[in-house]
Amino acid sequence: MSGKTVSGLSSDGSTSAKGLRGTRSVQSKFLLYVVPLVLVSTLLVFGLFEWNARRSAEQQLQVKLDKMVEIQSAVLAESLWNVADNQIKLILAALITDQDVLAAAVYDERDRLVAEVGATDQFEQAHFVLADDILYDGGDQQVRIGQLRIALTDARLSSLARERLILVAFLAGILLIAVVGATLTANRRIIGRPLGLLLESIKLAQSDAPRKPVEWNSDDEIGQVVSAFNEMQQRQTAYEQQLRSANDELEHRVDERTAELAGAELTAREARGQLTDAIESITEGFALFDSDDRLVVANRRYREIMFGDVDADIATGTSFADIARRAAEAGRFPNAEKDRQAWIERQITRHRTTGSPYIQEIAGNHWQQISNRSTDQGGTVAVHSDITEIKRISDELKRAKDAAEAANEAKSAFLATMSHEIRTPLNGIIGMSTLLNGTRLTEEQRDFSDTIATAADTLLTIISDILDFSKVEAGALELERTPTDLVETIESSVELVAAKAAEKDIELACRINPDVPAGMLGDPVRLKQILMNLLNNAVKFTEVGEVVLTVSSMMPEASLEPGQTTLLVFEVRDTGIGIPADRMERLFKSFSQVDASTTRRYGGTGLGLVISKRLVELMGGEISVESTVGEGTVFKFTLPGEVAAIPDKLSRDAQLAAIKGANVLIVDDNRTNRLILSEKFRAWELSPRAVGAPDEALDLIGTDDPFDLIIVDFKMPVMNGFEFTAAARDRLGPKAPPMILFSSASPMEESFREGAAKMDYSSTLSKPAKSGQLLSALVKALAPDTERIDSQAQADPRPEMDTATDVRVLLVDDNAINRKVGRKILKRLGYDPIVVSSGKEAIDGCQSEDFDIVLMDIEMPDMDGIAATRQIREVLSGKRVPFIVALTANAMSSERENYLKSGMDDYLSKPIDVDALSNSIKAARRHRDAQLS
Amino acid sequence: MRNFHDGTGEQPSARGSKLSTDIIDDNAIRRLLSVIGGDREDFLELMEEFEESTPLLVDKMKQAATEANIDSLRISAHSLKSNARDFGAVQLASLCEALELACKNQDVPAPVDKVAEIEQALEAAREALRGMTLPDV
Repeated sequence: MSGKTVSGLSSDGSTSAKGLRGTRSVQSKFLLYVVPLVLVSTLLVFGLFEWNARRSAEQQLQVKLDKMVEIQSAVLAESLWNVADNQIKLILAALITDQDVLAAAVYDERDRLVAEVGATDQFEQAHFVLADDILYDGGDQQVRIGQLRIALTDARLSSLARERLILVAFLAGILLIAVVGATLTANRRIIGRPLGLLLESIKLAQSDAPRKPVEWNSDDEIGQVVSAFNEMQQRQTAYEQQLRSANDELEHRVDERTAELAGAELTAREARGQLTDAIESITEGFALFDSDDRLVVANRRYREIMFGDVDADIATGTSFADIARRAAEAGRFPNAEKDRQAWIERQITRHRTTGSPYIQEIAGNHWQQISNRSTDQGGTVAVHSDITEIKRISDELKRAKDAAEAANEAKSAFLATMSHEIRTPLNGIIGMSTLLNGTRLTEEQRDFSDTIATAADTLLTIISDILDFSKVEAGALELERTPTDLVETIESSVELVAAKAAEKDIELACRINPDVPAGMLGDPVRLKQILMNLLNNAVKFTEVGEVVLTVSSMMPEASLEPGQTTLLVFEVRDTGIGIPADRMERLFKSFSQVDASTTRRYGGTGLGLVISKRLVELMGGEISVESTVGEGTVFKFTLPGEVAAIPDKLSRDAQLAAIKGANVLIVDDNRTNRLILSEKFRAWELSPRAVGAPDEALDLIGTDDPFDLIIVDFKMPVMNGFEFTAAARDRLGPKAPPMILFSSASPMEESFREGAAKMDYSSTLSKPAKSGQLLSALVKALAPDTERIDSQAQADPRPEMDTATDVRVLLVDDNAINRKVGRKILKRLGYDPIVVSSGKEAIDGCQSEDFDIVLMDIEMPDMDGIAATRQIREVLSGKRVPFIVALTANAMSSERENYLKSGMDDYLSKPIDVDALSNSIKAARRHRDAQLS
Repeated sequence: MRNFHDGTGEQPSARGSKLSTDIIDDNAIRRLLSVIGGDREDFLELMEEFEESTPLLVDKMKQAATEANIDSLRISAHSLKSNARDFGAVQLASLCEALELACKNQDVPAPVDKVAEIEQALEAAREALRGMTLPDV
């Protein structure tokens, strides 16, 4: 096999001869080791076997000889004793039949031969000879009577050994052949073939043919060599490829660079041309001067500006001074006409002062801006831009700005004047209505008069709000923080839009949840402003349906005790035209109603919502809006604050106690109104029953459980309020309970008044009724005694006058005029005050006399009002302390808070408002009564 | 505006409204007249008090200004402001208010000049008040 491989390889050429000799050498070297090893080991193994076999055969033979001698000597003893020689010969003859017995001889006691068989002459040479005495047993002792000698032959052993040798030689031959054959086959299989493949692959590489990996999969060393070779080959291939591509790239670059170099010159030439074109084409005049102020290049526009001629001939190298002179001579610069030389010199100076541009007039009412820049080489670049148009626009803008500013000033002045002019008549209205209130009025007239006063008041507030708009925008608006009667504030807001709602036949309702506290620290004027704005808007944009204001608390679990924090939600819901979604975000922006046509149709400044939003935010709340076009809009805002006690609670509690538990029937077709009234009545601990249909109500009043009061709406379908009342009186006769009529119709109508008078209602209320009014009406109907005391006090035109004298007042002020004014006001209200001029006197006064109220000026020299108050409280500790009211001209609400914190019971602003003073005195009286009781 | 609530109901076109609007606010006079009950003699008494006491206040201010006694200056300014408001001396009141605020902030650059300004305004106000016809109530 190896021979075949070798010849195959050697035929491929002389270059491989060396390698081939190596291969042959491997093969024969291998055999040289294997064959002797096999031969020696075979010989060794079989030699050992043979030696062993021989030894055991000889032992067997020796044993056989011993036995034979022993037995035959016993056999022969009898015969020898008897001298039976024939018998002995027979026995010996029998012995010789054994193949192994070479010879046997018997001797007598004197060693004379008795008998013998076989080749007795060979006794001396034979390996296996044994002689033994023949003993005769003569009873008590044995007697030697002769000797037996036997010799055995080893011939049989030798022939057996010969046969074995032949077999062994044969076996060893086969073994050798097998071992050599196996070795050669394995050699070729494991080493020869992969080596051949490797050689083939290497040769392939030498002949520049594409490389092929050697396909030989084996996990032995050869396999590893092959895969290492393959890997090496792969790396080599990759490396060569890399080398080739690097080479290619290098060549490519050289080509490119050559091409670039060729193009560069062309580009440079083009660039020069383009630069020249560019300089020519810019609309500005452009000129470059060298460091000696000599012209390098100038474009046509520059020539045009300087000389009025695009083609003017100026040679490169012309000095700037010459150019300026020529320009002046060409009459291009009006300023140069007066003193040409001076102008030229000025131009030269400017030309050398690079950096800041300057403006120059050119003939024909044109203007140019010239900027001079230094170049790196010390030259100068001059750029002349035509700014005629820009200058014209800038002049115009300046004129327009001046005009606008003047207009704005005029507008401000107008607004200021207007506010003054509007306020004057409004003050008249307010004053007149206040006077009117001082006269004896019927309940209705008083309501009208109050409404006039409140409306005018609100109007005044709104006017100033519009004027304050800028203040709001600037964030300079300050909020009050006074105990606010929420119910009063909310309901009076609703009342002010009630007339408008009634005019449009829209139901207007107000619902205050029982979880809303009665009073809260806040700014009632601003709250009212927000509510009015939202309600007015709602009514304005609603044609059919209802507008409902709902006030609730977002913290229904929270306590309503003063000092607790609360968060209210005000919700104004209407069934109006709605607001399209895309207009929603503009709602709260200045001067933007939903669209311009809305403004034309519904009027309004569009400022209301902006102010409302700002106010809500200032109060710490948030305002939001939801709307569906055609269905309505809901404005919602939150108001955080602190629950506060409000005055008047005492009389209100008395009223509530008087009517507690009464059965009240409500007849109204409007569901919202029914809900609101029922809820309110339940909050007042009445037991209300509300029905929407008059005939159903008529059925109810006939039952066993009689009603104490019936409240009936005037405007109802099928049967109006009058008809229902008539029917009810008809049915119940003298047992009929008192009735209250609710109406949104104008009570001015003669027919209505007559009708109402005929029906003998306990009260006639217009919708929506304020809580106070409603409560008074209920008290009047259900418990007339309670009501009389209250209404007498109310109806009195000057309530301050009569009950006043029992309150003792101390007025403290360092200012003489203030003392006089204060004294006069108090006298007019019916009090007789003690007046002192310092804190010290006030303390002394309080110690010597019991005062119910001290009106204490804050700003006083030596001892201010706060210190005086503190001392009064100190010296009177344990005794009754008067109600101490701060008098201050400081409008800052934060300071007022401080007064309350530092021990004042109340505060009044200067100049003193009579109503406020009167209220304070009332509070003082209650304070005293509470202390005394 | 709230301060005008219990105003007199005087017709807005009443004579005298043009009188000296710049220096004296008629509405304040009406208001003052009204809060003391509309008695003209009482009012004249107050006017006299004003004539007499306000120069004293200014003297006090002058002294405080030269002594740089800011606290005293503040209280006098406050006091005069209050009187000026009662009598509708708008300009005087606002000068006093500014001075009071400046004192409060401890930042009074030229107190003597400020007081001199106030004195002038007071003179103007007193002049205007003397020449005023009392409105009807």
